Amino acid sequence: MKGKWVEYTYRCRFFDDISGFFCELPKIPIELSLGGKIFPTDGVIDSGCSRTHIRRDIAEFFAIDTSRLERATTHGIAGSEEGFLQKITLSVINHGKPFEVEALIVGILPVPVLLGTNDFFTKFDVRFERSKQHFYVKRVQE
Amino acid sequence: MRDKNKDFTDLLKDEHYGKWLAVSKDYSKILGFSEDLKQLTHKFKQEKVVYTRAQNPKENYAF
Repeated sequence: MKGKWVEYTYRCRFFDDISGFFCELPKIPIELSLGGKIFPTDGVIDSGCSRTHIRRDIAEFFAIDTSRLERATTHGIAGSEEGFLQKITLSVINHGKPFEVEALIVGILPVPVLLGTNDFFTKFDVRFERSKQHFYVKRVQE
Repeated sequence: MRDKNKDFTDLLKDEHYGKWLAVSKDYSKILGFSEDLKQLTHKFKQEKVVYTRAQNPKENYAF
């Protein structure tokens, strides 16, 4: 079942002393779930990210034992880091059924979750209209 | 140009950046903040909050 475009507003504010108008990254409400526990948070839609990444302290919330997980490297602008692959259920609020992603658990991430191209973007289309302070998300695959 | 919908980002101060925030489900209020996610998740019931992190407007982000 395909969904409809849902509009989101960039959270923006004005600063006199810095760069003027500042907007948060495009984040949407999500829930991660594993082993009966649910973690309500938000995910940054990141078309430059190949796979969904989650912060290590979220993995700790789920009591994930990373020592038994397959390792994988992630490369970012600030260098490389070895993380751990974990299947986890991702629910995008108001966008249909939850689905499983194999996310990479990493230590250095300034946001809770990055939603990547090889999982999130296969199920959702995204339209950025930053100049109008809006972005749009549509579920295209269950 | 400013979002007509007030939300928790209007309430952000320096002390919030780089930390976990517990915000209300409607994103209107900051209910608590901590460097330690465990501390927040023990304090608030998950049905009542969203756990998030705010970017510092003085810093830049590229993943």
